[in-house]
Amino acid sequence: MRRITIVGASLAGLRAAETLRDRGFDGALTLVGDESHRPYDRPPLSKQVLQGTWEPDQTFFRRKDGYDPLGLDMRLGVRATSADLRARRVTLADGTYSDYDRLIIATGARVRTLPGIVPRPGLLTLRNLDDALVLRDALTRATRVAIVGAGFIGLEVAASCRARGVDVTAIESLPVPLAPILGPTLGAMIAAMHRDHGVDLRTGVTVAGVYGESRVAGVVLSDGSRVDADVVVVGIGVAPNTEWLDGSGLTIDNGIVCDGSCAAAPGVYAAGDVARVVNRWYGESPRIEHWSNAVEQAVHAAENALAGPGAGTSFSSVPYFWSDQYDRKIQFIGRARPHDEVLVVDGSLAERRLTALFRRGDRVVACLAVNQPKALLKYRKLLAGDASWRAALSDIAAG
Amino acid sequence: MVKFLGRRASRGPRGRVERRRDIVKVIVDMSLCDLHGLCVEAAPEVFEISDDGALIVLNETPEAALRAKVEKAVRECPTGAIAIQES
Repeated sequence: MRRITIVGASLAGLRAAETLRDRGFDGALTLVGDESHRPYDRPPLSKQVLQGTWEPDQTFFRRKDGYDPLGLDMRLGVRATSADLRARRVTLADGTYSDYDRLIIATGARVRTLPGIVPRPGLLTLRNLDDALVLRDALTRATRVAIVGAGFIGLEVAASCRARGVDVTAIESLPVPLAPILGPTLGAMIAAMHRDHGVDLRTGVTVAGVYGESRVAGVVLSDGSRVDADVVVVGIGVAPNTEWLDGSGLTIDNGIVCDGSCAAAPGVYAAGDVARVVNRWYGESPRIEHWSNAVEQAVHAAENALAGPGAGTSFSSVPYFWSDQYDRKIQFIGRARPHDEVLVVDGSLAERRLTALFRRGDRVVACLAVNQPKALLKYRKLLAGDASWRAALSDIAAG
Repeated sequence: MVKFLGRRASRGPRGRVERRRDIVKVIVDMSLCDLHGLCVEAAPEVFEISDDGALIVLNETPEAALRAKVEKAVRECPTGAIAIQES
């Protein structure tokens, strides 16, 4: 095996490249990315970058000369347009191509936009570094921001706007923000925190339209009310970047369908936001958009790419994500459903500093910690292990 | 020589794991550490979070047998706060 091509130059693509070299792969290694920036970290975009405490270069994973030891053929600012699995060739938008013995796909996801709404100045999204710089610049002049979608990204943007003293209205179609992920009780706690910080949070309403023709001036809601705004940020989720693989023969179903070794086809692997990898911890193959998942799958895909067909090992991982909002660090492991029983085992909802376990039948399925980082260690171990409610109770009793 | 410090372009590459050599020293940039705890999970022999919520490096010069675990901690640290200093 002499040639490996990685498509996607964000966290998963970079970690895959690093892992291949760390494991001794000394053949030709091509890293293709559609953004012109060298690989950077996305979590700081909605926090440090928007708040103006970090400059863009602080988000870069490596300095320019930090790539020399990796020996990459780095092709940035050019999109992959197709993959021919029989010829083992990826074609790029500039007409060049990259031939491979192994292909690792880490093309990530892109933001969804409001259906039927014409783009215009001031109507923004946040996914990429360039998006963050446009939004940061807009926030220096804006006095009123409307945020469509009070998911994690929308709420982080809301908190960053408030940190800058900008008025914020957040619009959420659900009655309680984050309820599908955290359940209604904890979702309501987060909602109350934002209201206490001055966010005008409108729930149970959707956006019916956007007004302002030469530039955005506000949004009309489904209840008929109008929200004036200089800037409208849409944060309603992402979609996997798989269109370039249409017709490739790979199975695409809300992401690239992979087995437990991250293999999507012989010699072809996928990792990160774009991938659906069989996860033994779940017993299913979800598409996960978390930072840590991208790293774990990138390492797994790279190791299995080197091991070759048949040698692949299975993937088992308890999902982990975090969110920083105001002075709160929200950490979550596992996966909850809205009807799981929630038990606060330390701290309290009133303090907004707590550890909560999610119970389904006789199992612990998730744990949320707000400003209690140490608690997570214990329950991460529990969730990765037998995850029985009985074991959880004895952990709680042990303090 | 510090081969790879933690985060940020101004300071050098982060999350970088060099080829196998004996670890000389594990360094955590506490200004970057955000207590995600993934290092404790990856290498509990080397990292710990104290009861009052501070990251502690239990063993700054772990033996070669712990190399893979420390590398995992470096790679998985969400803030790139961990570095391995090599001679």
